[in-house]
Amino acid sequence: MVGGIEDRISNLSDDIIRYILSFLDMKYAIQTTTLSKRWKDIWTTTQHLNLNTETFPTMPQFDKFVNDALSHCNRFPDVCAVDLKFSGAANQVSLKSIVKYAYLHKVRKMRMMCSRYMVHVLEFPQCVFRSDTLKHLTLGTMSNGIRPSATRLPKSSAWDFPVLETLNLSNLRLDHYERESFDLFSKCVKLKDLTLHGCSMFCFGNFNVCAPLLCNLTITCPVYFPEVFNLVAPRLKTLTTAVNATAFCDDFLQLSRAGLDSLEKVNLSMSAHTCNKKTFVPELLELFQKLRSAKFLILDKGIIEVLSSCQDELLHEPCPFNNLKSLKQKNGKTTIMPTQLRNYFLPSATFIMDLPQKVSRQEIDKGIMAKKMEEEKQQEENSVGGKVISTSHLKVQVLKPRVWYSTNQQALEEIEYEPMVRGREDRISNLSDDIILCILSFLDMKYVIQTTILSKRWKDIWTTTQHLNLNTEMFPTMPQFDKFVDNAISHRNNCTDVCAVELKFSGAANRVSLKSIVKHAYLHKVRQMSIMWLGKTVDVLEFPQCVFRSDTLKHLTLASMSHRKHRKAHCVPKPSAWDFPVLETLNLSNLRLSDVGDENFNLFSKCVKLKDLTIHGCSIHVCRIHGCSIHGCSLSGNFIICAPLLRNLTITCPVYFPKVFNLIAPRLENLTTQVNATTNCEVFLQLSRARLDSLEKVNLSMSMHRYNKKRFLPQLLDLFQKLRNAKFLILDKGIIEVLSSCQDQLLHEPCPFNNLKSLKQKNGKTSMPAQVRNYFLPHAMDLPFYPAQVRNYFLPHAMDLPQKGSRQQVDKGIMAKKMEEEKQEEENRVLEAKLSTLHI
Amino acid sequence: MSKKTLTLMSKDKQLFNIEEHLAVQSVTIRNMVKEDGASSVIPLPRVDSETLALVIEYLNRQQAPEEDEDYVKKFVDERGEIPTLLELAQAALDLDIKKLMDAACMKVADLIKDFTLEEVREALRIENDRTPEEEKAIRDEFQWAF
Repeated sequence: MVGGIEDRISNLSDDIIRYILSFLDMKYAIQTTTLSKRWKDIWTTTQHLNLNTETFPTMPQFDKFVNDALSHCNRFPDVCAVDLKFSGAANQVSLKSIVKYAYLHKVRKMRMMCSRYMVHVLEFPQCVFRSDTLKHLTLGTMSNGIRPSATRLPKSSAWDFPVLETLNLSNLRLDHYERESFDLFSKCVKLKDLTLHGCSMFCFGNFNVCAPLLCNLTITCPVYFPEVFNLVAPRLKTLTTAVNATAFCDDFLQLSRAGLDSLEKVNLSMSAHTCNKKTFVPELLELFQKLRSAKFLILDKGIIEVLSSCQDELLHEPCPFNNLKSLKQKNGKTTIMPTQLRNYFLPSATFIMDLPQKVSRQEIDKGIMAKKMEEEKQQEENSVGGKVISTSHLKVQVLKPRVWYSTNQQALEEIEYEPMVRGREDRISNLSDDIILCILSFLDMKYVIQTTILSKRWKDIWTTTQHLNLNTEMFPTMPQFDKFVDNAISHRNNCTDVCAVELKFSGAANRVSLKSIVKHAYLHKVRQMSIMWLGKTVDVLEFPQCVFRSDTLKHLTLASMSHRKHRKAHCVPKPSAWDFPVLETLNLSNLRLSDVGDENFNLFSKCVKLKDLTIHGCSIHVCRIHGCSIHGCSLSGNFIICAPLLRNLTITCPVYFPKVFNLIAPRLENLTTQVNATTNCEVFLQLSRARLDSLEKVNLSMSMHRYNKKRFLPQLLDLFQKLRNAKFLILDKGIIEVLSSCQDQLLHEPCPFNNLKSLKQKNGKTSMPAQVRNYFLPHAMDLPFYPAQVRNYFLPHAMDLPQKGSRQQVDKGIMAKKMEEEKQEEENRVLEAKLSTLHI
Repeated sequence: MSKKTLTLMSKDKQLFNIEEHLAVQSVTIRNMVKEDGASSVIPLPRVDSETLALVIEYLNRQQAPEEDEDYVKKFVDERGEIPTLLELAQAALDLDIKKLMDAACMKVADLIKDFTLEEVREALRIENDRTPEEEKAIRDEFQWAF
């Protein structure tokens, strides 16, 4: 036994071993050489260099180790990550050679930490600051007790990391004594995350952080701030910073300008010790001004204390945060934010401060606000007095415009009742845009645009709707529709994505206006689209090619509403595979999914995320010879549905089936289908192979008129063979009739459904013949230990009950109980029958 | 494990109890509970007691997920008054209960979809703040939509 385990360990693949070594110190990793012959060279291909000078008693020993290790290292593999801890000076030859080796071998991640240094000034060598491959760099000194003022980076030109994304600097001096501006990161054009912890940024001129892609900037425990912190980061989303330096708390963060348009989250903290708090207010307000785009603001206790100390001044200042949605207090357990302060930041919020504010402040009319406040006050007074003042409720009648009260009595009652509602009236007139947009999303676009007339406030609301519901039938003529679409699209807010499109149209599908809707939607990241053809005028409906390609669409419905006789006329263009890389739901109805001339027809091969596919009333066939009629054509090609993630497939009322339906869907769980075509019930669903391993539920139906039933049996059994993994089977009357008509044959066939747990009849009123049941669930007869009586009693019902768990596991006790219950039921029935005869 | 109960307070200072596992269908309340345990009363100063009672009735529903869709529809259908629905929608927005908000808004849309603009103004209490001349100008500008 132990031998077996040992073998497994010694047989570990090199990748696993390398992975384990990647967590270990280099010294230790190299010592594994001695383990066995096989281990001898594994370490040489490691992509992780973890080095620590402290693992060596003296620096010369470390130097020698580095020298030897690097010369032994296999030159071939790239270095992935370097973790270098060192003490002493940073410009030692061995450190430099590690860095050089790593940079030469395309290192992506480097961490260089000085844990302890005996030198007066720690100076990182110039070679550290130039790499074409480095993506993540951490540079610094351990903070415990080391004065950061003693570390120094080389007097450097800009650091040259063209692909650097993450930069963490801790406890370093980024000081600069020259008068001109200082732009350390100008060549790190890909920088996304910058963290400066405990750094000193002393600088006479501008300290520039100019990073076009910077998303997150974190400045914690700053030792000094520069005179001007010139932050040019148009993409900056999250800013976390201490507003003043730790060394002198009146050394404030002075941002140069306010071009931080993408700012989302701002997290400010302040170290305020013994200083006079009020002195910071102007600087703080100026900083707020520059961060005014922020949507989420988190302030620490220090800042809140400063602001609280001068609440009166705040009253006269307008709050610069126009888009603020949420205001929070960092670790806010102890002090509660004063109301005045909250009102300053979120004047529109009567909501408590932690709730996210969806209503943008600009949207709320001040006049209405004032009115509301006044009325609320009044209402409060009223309720305090316990008496309702009714003079102001004369306009109550206007409230219910749709109801007209015929008698005064009713009107009076209404007035008695209304005061509660009155407060609401103002809120309704003050509906937030989100509610309005949500309502508009259910309405037709024409109607939606007409709301522009309602009032000034409504003028532009519709332009930001994310739902486009269009119907050509709303317009008397098509040119009017075209004009409408043209105008609507050009008036629509171009920055607003489209969420869903519902397009109903009649006439041809390749109309320019329809195309431009689709194009506009696809350009604006539409997720859901439904295109419905209402019929009329054209013979052949051909969807334009541009419909079949979108990178964002998740749900698509293509349908034709017209009558059956037209159906063969509708088709999708002769397409290459539809190109919907993220599509999850696809509904097709009453379409001809046909292809002419192509051997294999793989429409959905590029819809790799497809989960639900519903094909209703479609003609699915692949036809080689052009121009032949549906009935007589030679069906030779494959119709392929190859969808790795498909879970549900539903095929209802198929007009035509292909000769081979090649269904490759390893995750398919539910299959609902009609087994033969409606136009010609001899055309059967011919699945190509039986790889439907995840199949759970199969729901089969059959359209059958006057034909000889028996002839369908072979095809049906063939289909069963391919669906044999199903656990739940539902059959319709048609199929059961076919099976019943040839019960004798069934006896000789073994049932392919080995995992079947339940068999049901769709709308099952007619009973299923026992032989058919036995065919599907043969084990049900074999239940051991039960006398024949029990079996007979139980089985007829047992078949119709979905059986959870394997049949073999059925517990004796439960069986007996059920039996008893059923007996009781039977007795009741007899009793009832008797009673009813008595009544008669 | 005993079920934890939260207390919500409406604008008019009425208190409502609701089990925590039901209340957290509101994303807003969920976030509050997550953040500080929300042991005390949660004030909802923008929701009046009538609406809050409705919201709580909705949250307390005992429905299987597949029947939920129908339930929400029926729930708003039974409260077919536009002001009530709008209150409900606003409360659902504040509390971040998406399904309820969608259903309420859909019902409102359904009710107003055949209204004239005048009727919409009345139904949604919109004050026409344009002079007749201004209104004519904007109608002319959006001629293509009529």
